[in-house]
Amino acid sequence: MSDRWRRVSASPTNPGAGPGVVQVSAEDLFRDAAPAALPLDEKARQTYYWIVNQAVISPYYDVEFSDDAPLEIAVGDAGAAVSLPNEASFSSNVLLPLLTFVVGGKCLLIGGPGRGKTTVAVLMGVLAGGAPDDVRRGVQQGQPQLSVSDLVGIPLPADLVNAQRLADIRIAWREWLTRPVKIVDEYNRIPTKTQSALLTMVAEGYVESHDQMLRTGVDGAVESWYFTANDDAGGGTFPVIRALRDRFDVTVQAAGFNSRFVDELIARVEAGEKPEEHVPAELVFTPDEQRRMRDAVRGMPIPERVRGRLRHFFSHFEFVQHGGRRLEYRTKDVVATSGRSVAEAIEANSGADLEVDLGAQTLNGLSVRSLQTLILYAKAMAWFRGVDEVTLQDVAAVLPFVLHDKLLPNETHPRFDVGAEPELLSDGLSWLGGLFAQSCREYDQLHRDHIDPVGALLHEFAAGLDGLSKVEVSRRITAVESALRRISKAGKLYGRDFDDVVALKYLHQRYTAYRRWLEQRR
Amino acid sequence: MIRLPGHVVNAPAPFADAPLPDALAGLDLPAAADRVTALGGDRGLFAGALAASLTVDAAPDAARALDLVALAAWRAGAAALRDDALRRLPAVPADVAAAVLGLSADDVASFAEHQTVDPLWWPQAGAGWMLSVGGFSGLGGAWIRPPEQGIALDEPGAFAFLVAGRWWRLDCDVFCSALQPIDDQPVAAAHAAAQPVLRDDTHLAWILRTGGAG
Repeated sequence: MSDRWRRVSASPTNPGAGPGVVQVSAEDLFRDAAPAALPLDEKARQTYYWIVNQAVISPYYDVEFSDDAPLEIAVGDAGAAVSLPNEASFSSNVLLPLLTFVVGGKCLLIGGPGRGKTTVAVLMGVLAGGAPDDVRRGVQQGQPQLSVSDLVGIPLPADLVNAQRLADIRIAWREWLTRPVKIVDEYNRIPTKTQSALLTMVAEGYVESHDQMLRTGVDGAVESWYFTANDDAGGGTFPVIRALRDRFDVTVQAAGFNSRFVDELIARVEAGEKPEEHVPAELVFTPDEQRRMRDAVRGMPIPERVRGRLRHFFSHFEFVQHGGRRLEYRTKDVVATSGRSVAEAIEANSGADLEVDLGAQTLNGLSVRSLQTLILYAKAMAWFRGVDEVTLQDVAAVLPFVLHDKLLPNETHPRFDVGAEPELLSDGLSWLGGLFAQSCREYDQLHRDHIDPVGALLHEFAAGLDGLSKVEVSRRITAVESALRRISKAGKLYGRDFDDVVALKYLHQRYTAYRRWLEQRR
Repeated sequence: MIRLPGHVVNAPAPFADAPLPDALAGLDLPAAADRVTALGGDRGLFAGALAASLTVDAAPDAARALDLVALAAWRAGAAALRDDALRRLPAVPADVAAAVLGLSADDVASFAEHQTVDPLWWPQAGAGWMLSVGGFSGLGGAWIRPPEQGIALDEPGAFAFLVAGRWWRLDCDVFCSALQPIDDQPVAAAHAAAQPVLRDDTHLAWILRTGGAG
């Protein structure tokens, strides 16, 4: 048997900054490789490189990192360019599923048939310790007749006959439900009722049948989900439940086959080999390692310079000037839930420049769930790269995949409608990446790192109210009112101002309530 | 013409082509060759150097075989074996050491002495080009752009290059070179026996030995 599958990248996969060359002796050349406990991020990187170099033929490096502007070379006559970043860059269709495995997330792999979506998902199952055959058997094949019982299991027939009450009916649960990696193939072909059962599992981590409940995560184990679909729009045999779609943390486009690698393909056909049957044992993660990885990711710090830009980005999208009468109700969500057209409400805003207003490019705001997912995956990206804290590059790298199909483009916005970028409607990842870059540029133009009066007021408040004198509270209330007047004078109102105004009102309420309490106490 | 990085002591080829023996005094040489390659050495040079030594000492014992492996690995470009090879060199008979290193037996003692202070020293080499490093990443080199700046560092055989906005450290000697990206801009040495030389039309950087006699 060829051992070509056994090649695991040499450590370190991420050359560090240690000066000099570590010296070894001649005896070291003959020692068996030490069973050194690799740091888990190094093991994850070795796993990534094994997958892209040995298992999945994927020469696409679309998740780019560069500490300088990458070298760009124009190709073709339609504005395309190939960029050559100067740091390690990655294939999204392997990296994002791997990060999903690390954080215990939910990944949707989209793309036409035969593009390796299921293979990548099955590899994740093997990395979690499953036998290749078991993992493949555990893949739930979406099809129009898939019932809830097919998915979760059946009540024992004898109990159905003899039971006096529902609680007495035992369920023969399907084995795949408690696996650390759960794979649902072609989920958009599953009937709506079965999708609802799936939603409960994905969202709540349990499954119910005949008043019986089974937790899908065993003993707090990390569980990750992989869904595949060949239709990004959610089409298929049955319409996809929006709530289920919203539960997917990241959406990844499977890459096509690169014809330059046909020799490798021929070798595999001739050998009749499947990559999941050749995962090196040293790349398999124990349940304890998976827990430690998840904990390490959660512990990655996010510095203030990244937080500030995240805050700024989040602020653009909820507000719409003509969404309602009261300021608090002037949101896209209010417009959408009332059945009106958000695009028309945006279009009605003659006060702000739609080209400048980033919020005008989207039909909705960001859910808290999306924001939490973005933060978690940015931490995972930084952890995977082996850096000490989350950088702006980490956020930018994962943001398009997290917000894909969650932040919806406003197709009537001049950028898409009459502008020169209609291709962005089909390439949502590039649009989202550009949106974040635009937001960061705006943040810098506003000098928000240094000039942020509302941030300063919130920071002051965060120190607590205990012991504040009435005079000091009155001074702060005046400062809040002054900040509001400054925003008022600007005339035009954007999403960032909306969030500031709401935050200032919050501060005003807290301070005035405290002042009332001080007055009543006397 | 495609220019690739390399050392002048390897041009022309210092050893005749030779197959790698399966074992030497019980040592698993193919396994050692794998490690040497992983450490940046050249498998062919490793085999050639060992074969050359065996023409002088055909049946070394286990301890001597380890000496020869260390010297051959260093000669093949595995920088991680430099200290071990230099430590073992005085104990190896001059004719055997000369064979494995590819120099004259008369020069072995002088070579061992000079190497402790001047990693780029080579008999009769004097001042001149010693090696080139880097190269275009698309052709298997290290860099995506030509280096913009090169400096010698305080430690012997250590240099640094600014490439595409990032600093790289080079540790090299007469046989080996190891490049790795570093986080901070290093401090240039006030005086150095060798200097890096850059040109606009190549992704390679050259190390020019300016001091010392052959």
